[in-house]
Amino acid sequence: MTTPTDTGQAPKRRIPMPNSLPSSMSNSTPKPATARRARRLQEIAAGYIFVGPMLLGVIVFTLIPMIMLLIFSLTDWSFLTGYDKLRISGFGNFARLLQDAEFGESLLHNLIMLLAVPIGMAAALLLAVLISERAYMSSFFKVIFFMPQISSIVAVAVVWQVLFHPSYGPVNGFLSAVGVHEPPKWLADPHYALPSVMLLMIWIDLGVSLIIYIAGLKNIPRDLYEAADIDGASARVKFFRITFPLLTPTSFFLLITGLIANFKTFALIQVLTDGGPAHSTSVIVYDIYQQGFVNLKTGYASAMSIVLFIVILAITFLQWVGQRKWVHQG
Amino acid sequence: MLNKKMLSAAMASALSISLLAGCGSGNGNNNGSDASSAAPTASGAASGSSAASDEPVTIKLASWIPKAQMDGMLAEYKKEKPNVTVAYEELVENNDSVEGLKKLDLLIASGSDLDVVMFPSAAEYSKRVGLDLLAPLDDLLGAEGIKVTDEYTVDPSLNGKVYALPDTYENYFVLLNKEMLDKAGLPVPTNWTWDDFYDYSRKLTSGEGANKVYGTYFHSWPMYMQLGLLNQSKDNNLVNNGVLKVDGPEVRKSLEIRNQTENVDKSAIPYSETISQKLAYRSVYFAKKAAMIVTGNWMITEAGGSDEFPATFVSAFAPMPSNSAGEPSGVSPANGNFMGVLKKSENQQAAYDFIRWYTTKGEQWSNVYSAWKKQDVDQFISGLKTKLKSPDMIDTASLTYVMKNSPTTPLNLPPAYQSELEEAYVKEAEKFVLGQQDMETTISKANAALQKIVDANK
Repeated sequence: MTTPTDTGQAPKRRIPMPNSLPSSMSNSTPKPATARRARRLQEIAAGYIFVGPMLLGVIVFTLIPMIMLLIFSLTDWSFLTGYDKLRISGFGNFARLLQDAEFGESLLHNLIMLLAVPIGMAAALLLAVLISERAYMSSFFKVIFFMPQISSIVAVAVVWQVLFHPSYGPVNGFLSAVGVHEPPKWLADPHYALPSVMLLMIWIDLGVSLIIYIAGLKNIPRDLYEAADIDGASARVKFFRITFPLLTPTSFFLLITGLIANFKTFALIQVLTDGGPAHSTSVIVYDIYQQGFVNLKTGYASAMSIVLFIVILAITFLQWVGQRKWVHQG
Repeated sequence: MLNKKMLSAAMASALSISLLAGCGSGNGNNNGSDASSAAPTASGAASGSSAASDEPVTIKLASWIPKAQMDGMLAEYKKEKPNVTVAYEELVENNDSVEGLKKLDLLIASGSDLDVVMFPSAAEYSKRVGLDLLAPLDDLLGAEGIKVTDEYTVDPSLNGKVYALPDTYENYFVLLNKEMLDKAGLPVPTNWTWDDFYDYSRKLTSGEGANKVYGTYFHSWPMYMQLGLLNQSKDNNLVNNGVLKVDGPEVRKSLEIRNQTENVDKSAIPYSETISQKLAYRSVYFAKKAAMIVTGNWMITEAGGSDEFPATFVSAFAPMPSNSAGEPSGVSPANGNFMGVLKKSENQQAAYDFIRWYTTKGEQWSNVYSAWKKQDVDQFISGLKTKLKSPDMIDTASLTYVMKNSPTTPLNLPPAYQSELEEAYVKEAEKFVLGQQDMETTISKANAALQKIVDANK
């Protein structure tokens, strides 16, 4: 547990040492110091020139909008009315958010939806192992599972709408054929709509996780398995003692990006359910869209975005802290 | 500190404006109806607020209406006022007013120098008056010496002031597939209640499974959850002057209409199918999946066939059903497009003159059913028939009857937060229609939710 961090930090600690030594010595001899300082300044200037375009882009397109968002969240402003009507009115929006039952529901839906990420990853890992070790024509399966990812989300949604048709869709046709009397109405049923959407999310994102896991599997040294074979380890033991631990960095990457992407889901909800029926699939981003662009309440929508930002930040931070406990660092 | 932020905000907005301005002038060059229109557009704003009658003026108009359709109107206006050039910006390519409105909002937000704007409904108009975007027109109307209620069937006053003129006139009726009516041996109804409607719907339902033809179809719009409320001659909104109308017989009737047809009689396409399949009312009606639909007068021309949905059967028209036998049928809220002048427009007079012409003679010229009182219904229908793709597919007798026998209600403009109210109401109504909660729970929950919104917006 402690060894990986130690080895990770040790080289960093060693690097400053040689640098600090000559610089402390140079203080006694002034002439080379000024020359060095001038060179140092030049280097810094050159550095800024190199990162300048990028920095400018980040400031204009990321930093300024974020600061504006923060300001907007403290106002009752609508983006239609122009900047002269912008009045800071304090934390009223956030106070209202705390009492907004709909927002609470959406947040809950977001948290439930997060389950789709680990479930999807487990499925992807299982498939990755099967495909890379047991299947003929493995590249064929890779393509098959990657298909939903490269298809238009609208097309995918329409296909699933038909599959999930409440009266005579194939899914319910099958369920009634095997004797289920009142099959769920899936996307039109407030209790089943969210699981249906999650199912789709897993299905769409499976391909990416699968490809990344297969790449991760290729990186595991073969000799570990050979050694395990000589020791007489079973397939199960090999999986849990070699494959899974050595894939944890991959899993960590997928988990962190997956959770963030999951939190920001919008397109699928928009084309599939519009947050309905009866608000049962609404998520925060969808609420932001509704408040900001349908009800034209920019201030309130901005406050929602700030809350979303804080929630994502907190979850990512927790994962970053938690990773030391389970991620193998080779 | 704050100044710095404001400065950066101003910088960012200036940047976006210049970007959009770049787009705008590009458009002007591409589609300028006159070769010269691009140049005056640029100088139009500068050329001054004092629009003398023969000084050249350029006003900018943006809407979702296709450019091809608008060009004819604008050419006609050029004949009327040669010194005025109207630069038209088409917001969307598919005639979709909802998408167009979003683009309009962004355009206004980015500081575009638009003069005239158009809204597709009273609710959208009211929402933007709430944001103080539109200029009051009372002085200009007074200068012309007219009263808006004498001139138009719809009164667009909000808080005692007129911020827009009503353009097209929309009211609701029932559109029926006459072939199916004849087959079932039913006459075109002229005076009916919702009970009669259930009866018609049951008799028009036939078939089973995927080939089932339903009696009726209710679209996913919030208005279809309020059918027993919007046929009232007064106070036909969920909230009228701050007073809730949820816990009353009209909303109960509205819910009953949906429950009776969809869940009890199974004569309407189930709501679960409507939302999960995202059904569209045009394809449902023209593909003969449902025999009658409650709809509005924008469908009159479409019943005569469009490129996408050619008319293959005769359509008849019936007034809106009433809630009980004693009440008149055919009552429906008047809605339609509204045209207003932006507050920051520098050509108020010219812009006003244009919308006055557009909403009266202009719409008469293009034979659109408008809110102008002086328009002649018979002339409109005969004019309409010459324009339709298949005029024989419209039952003239019932159309004339409906148009002449639809007592219009005084426009009851919804509050600026109407979309929030509808969202909250539909959320509860959906649960009822889908069989998740009973009537009384629905009413009490919706009542509480709407009261909260009203309180928050006081």
